[in-house]
Amino acid sequence: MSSSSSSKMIELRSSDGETFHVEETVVLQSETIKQMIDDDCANAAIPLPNVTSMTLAKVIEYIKKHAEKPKDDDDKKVAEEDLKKFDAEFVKVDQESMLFDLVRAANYLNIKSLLDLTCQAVADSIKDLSVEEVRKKFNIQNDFTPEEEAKVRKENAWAFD
Amino acid sequence: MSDNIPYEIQLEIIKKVPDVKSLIRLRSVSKEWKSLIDSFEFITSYGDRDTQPHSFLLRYKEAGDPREVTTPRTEMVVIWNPSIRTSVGIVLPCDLTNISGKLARFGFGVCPSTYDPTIVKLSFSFEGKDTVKWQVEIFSLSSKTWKMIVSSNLPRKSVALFRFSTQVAIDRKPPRSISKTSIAYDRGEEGGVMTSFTKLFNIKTPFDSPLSEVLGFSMSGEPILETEKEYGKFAKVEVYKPYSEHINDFGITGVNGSFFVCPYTETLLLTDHSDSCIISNDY
Repeated sequence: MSSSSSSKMIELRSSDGETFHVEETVVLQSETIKQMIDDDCANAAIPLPNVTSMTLAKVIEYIKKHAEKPKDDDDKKVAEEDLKKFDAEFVKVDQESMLFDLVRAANYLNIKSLLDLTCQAVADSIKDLSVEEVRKKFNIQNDFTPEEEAKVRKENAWAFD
Repeated sequence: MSDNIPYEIQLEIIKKVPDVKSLIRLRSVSKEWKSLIDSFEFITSYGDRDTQPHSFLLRYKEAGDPREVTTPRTEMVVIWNPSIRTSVGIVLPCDLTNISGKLARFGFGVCPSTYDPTIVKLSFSFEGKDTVKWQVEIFSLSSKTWKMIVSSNLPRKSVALFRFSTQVAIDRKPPRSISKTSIAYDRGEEGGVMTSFTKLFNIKTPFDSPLSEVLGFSMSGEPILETEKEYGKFAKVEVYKPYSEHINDFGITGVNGSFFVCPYTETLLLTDHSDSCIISNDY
């Protein structure tokens, strides 16, 4: 893109001290960073103490792809298909914890489309898990007494087949 | 990871769980998750998703079904949510059900803005030659009561309460001797405005299996048919493929005239009711 050379670069610093240079137009997809830029807090590197370099690299990959603008209407259709494929591949991460890291990062950086995408991926992944596995995954304490839990399960025993 | 997922994000994730069966199972994760999934807000917002696939619900009576239905003393309508296997019986107000000469029709729908399951009862009696007396009663599950609609503006001849998506006109020639059945259907516009017919099928029905009824249309617009077999001994559900002109058998056999098909989407409605409970309330 020809306009890219004129775009201002923003510097982001991850929790482990790595810095990333990203075009302002790309990084504006993050409402949190947009607010910082609007408030004139982005003159130096923006510290992101909640996001590791590994996660931030993934987030930047995502917002860069989503910032690409199609040239014309024909291109638009192709680009939409391409983006769908990209999104589907993007959430196929090797480590399970990475998906949760991305959810947290999308939430912290306030990138709505990334939050939707990653939450949907988590929802799809817990669909076939047992209740115990879901508790473990979300680190949720079981606060039912054994009697209460048995009662809740009994109400809809068919769902546990 | 040591950090937990904040509750509001957990909520976003639970909302996106694609099927009702999993959600029902997830009620036993914790008290917080249970009260969330059981909440009215969650139940209604879950029904509002536009991403869920549409499927069909088929109801029919098995041929040779030995079960006898005993007539209950009270008249009741039953709302059933097959996705969560829960049914709720609603007793009809008794002072209106047993008046001779009175006919009643029922309609069921879910209010699009409040997601409140609603039953409409239309009853009418003939008083004199050309006088029909209408009565309209509405039951909403949230109020658990029947309400009489008192209005002098009720239409005299017909009351259209629910939006019809498909209007079917069947032109049936005398059975058995024919090989052609025409179905014209029209997708009615919102508000019931009729548009011109959009599709016309000429179906070559096999000599020995005349068409009894058009039950509906598949998502791709193919007619779903109930066809009579062995001179009305039983019937089958079949789908007509307009391009190949083939009739595909679903392999479901039942009593002639007992088939009913409607589109159906998964919802959590009735999750806040215990299965088989009965609501009995007069005005």
